[in-house]
Amino acid sequence: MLARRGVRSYLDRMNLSLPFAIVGGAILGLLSSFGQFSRFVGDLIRALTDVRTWGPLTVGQMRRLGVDSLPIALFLSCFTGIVLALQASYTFTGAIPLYFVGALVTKTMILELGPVLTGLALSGRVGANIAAELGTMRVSEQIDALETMAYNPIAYLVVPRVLAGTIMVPLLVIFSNVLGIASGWITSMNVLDMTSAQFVRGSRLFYDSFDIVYCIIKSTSFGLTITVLGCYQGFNTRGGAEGVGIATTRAVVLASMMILVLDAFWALVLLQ
Amino acid sequence: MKWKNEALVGLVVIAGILTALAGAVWLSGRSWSGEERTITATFRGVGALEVGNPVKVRGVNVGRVTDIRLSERGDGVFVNMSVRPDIVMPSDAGVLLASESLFGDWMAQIVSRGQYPDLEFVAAQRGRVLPGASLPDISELTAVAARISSDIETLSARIQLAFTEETALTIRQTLENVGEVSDQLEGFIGQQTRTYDAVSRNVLGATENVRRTTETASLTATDIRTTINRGDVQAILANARRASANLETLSSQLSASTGGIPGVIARVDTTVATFGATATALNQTISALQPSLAEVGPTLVEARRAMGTLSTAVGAIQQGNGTLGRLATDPALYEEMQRAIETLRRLMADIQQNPAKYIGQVQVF
Amino acid sequence: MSIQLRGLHKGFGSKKILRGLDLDVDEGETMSLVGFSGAGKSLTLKHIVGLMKPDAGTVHVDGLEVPTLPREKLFKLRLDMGYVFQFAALFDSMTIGENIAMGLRKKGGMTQAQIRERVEESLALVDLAGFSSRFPQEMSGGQQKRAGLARAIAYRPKYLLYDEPTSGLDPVTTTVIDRLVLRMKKELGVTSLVITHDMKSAYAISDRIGMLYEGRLVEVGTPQEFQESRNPIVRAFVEGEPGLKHDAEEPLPMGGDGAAGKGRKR
Ligand SMILES: Nc1ncnc2c1ncn2[C@@H]1O[C@H](COP(=O)(O)OP(=O)(O)O)[C@@H](O)[C@H]1O
Ligand SMILES: [Mg+2]
Repeated sequence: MLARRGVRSYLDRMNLSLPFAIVGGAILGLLSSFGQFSRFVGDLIRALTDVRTWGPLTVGQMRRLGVDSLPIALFLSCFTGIVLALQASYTFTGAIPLYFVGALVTKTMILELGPVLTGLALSGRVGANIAAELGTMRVSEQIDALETMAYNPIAYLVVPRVLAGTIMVPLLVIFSNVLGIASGWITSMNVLDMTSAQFVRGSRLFYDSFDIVYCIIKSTSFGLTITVLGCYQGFNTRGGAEGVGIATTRAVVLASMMILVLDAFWALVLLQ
Repeated sequence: MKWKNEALVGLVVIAGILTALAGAVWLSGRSWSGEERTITATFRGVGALEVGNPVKVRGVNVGRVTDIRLSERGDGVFVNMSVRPDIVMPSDAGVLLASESLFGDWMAQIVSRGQYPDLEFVAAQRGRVLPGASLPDISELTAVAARISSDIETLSARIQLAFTEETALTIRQTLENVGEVSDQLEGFIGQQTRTYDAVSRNVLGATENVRRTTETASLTATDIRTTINRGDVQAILANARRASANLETLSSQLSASTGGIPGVIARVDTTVATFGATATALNQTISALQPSLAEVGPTLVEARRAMGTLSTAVGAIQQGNGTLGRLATDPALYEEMQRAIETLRRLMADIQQNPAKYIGQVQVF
Repeated sequence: MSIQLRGLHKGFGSKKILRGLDLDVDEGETMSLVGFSGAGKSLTLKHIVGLMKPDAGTVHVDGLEVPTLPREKLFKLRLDMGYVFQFAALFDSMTIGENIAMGLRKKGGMTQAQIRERVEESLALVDLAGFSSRFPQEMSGGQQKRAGLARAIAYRPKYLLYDEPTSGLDPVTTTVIDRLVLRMKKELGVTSLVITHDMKSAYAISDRIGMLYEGRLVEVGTPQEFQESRNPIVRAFVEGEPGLKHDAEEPLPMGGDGAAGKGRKR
């Protein structure tokens, strides 16, 4: 009797609409941030027509975001190639012909590790760079200043970065692949006592001309994702230095996650 | 100075695109020089051949398949191949399609038809079109082998239940079938012995004995027809069943191991083991025959010794320290093994085409 | 025609900043806007250039309604307006010269040489001659501020919006800036709206002064009238009398005193 009354009064006291309010609020928040993002992408697409603004700036961004990222991409893939070759030979103990090391290094490099590792490294380097730069420009009102001088800030700041990333990331991945395979090759010859011909034979064994297309499609989508997310976060930075920090972290985390999601997505869509 | 960025970016972009193109060409193994020669061959069917598969002459890669299309009337297939211009074609050239490794991609081999008398090449109606033939896929063959062995087993089981004088004829034929299968298997062993040079001489001698033994077994079977008595036949049948069970194991191993090269190696092991077991089984069969057939005594003693040798040889291979270990790392040995396997495949093809020769009388019951 | 704000309302969440602001700046006039920190002065300027959209009310510049203006027309109108940001907002990836040239390039119709000449001329006006190849980080806060001013006046806009152009400057430089504001008006007939805390310079440069309080103009008048105003809020502000209720939160610089980088404008 007493217990029931206790429960009753507890329920009465409790605001029953609260859980619904929380769920509803979360959904609305999600929708509005999705809406905000789609508006950003819409603005981005519309700004593409403003060639005179972004045209001259794109090369500079290609240099900054692309060419200057070559060392990190190459460093990464060089070691990846070595490790791949060693681990392949370790896995294939005795039973499997050693030239399969060539097949594994080449295939893994082109299909997976080249694009994904480069993508992850660049989401750190490029994504963070963009988010921090645009975030600082936002909080110090430089973006507002651009607008007051009749520049479309999306065309001036975002489009060159997005284009540069989308063009340069696949190219970086190609160089990464070449260096990764080459370092795997050299490792095979010097550490694993394989002949050059064996490695080449293995490399060609399972090669399909679609592999490179797949690799390029994948890395292009990575480049697009990294730069769009970096720009979006930077553009919507709030608050001061702390806000810039938050935007940068978000850009990197989201880009890394999206790269892995896209990786699975392309595998499902293109490799089935 | 002003153009420094542009120049650098342009350089990287162009270098990247060129690298991608060059890499794609290099990895696909296409020749760099544009000079190519196109040859065409016609087939009844092309199995799992695809555009891009390699074309080989004596195992050397000389080009690739560029086009596969049905003939106008739909009764055949034309295959275009782009090959190096400098290859010398045999006068009776034909194109043979087979899987490159056991379970991998297919390939087209330019061969001299004379080397494959038992293969039927499709005659080319037009000039300059090479006749072609294709070897059946290993999975089809193992299915046939499995059917034979299960038939034998059913047969034996039924005989044991309802043995009559009339079935003696069937028994004889069954034994002949087993003999013939072992004959063919022996051919396979013969191929393998050339591969495993370390034990080749032993095995070669042993297999020759196996062949003679099986011959003797067939002769013995003829004698059984007249002097048959229930107890002996029971023993023979039990052994025949054991032998067929081994054959079945081989078949299932063959079809189960689809994992590429590791599969190949596992399969070679199994095959070797199965031959060992079969040899033991045959040995026991012969022992069972011995008491009632005094006149062939000396032959059987010799056969038994041969079996012993074979078992030792098989054991040595199974140890893996010598030949198998090398097989895994030496491409030349690997290629030889492939050739041996091709022989097996031809045997199987024969079984498939003329099943009556092997299992004709089995259907009696 | 000039600048005309009517019934302007703007709030962020539950915080209502502007509550029915009416403001007119006539052609060729220099008007000063004073008020406590956080009263919404910068916010008002941002509405005039279209960086902010009002919740209610209208903003007219040159007879055009800014919030609903199509992009092309808005950009064209903005080239007639110069905006001096409270914290300069110089592009820190460019030299001062390039910063100033940005507006000139956008406006077009000038050769490279003319642009370079105009850049030097504008810098000289704010006492920064020879600074054109410096980067913003290499200059003091006061110098940056003047460079921001030079950037705004360089392309000769018809309207100039100054957001605290003299705060943080020494008295001598303050006088230089005040003279500059007067000169822009006299020589080029510019219409100006100046936000300031410095009553002395407000009296010196203004045709009229307005006081923003609780989202509205509580007093407008000539410097003379303003000085003699009996309005207790104006008196408290002019005399610096504490105790009056006002929004005392003064965020740190870069933390965005007011609108610094908060939110989106579209
Ligand atoms: N984008 C924004 N988001 C949220 N609040 C803002 C934004 N812009 C301005 N504010 C708030 O509006 C108020 C007025 O800001 P502002 O116009 O900069 O004041 P001031 O009169 O000192 O220039 C401040 O309290 C500020 O916090
Ligand atoms: Mg302010």
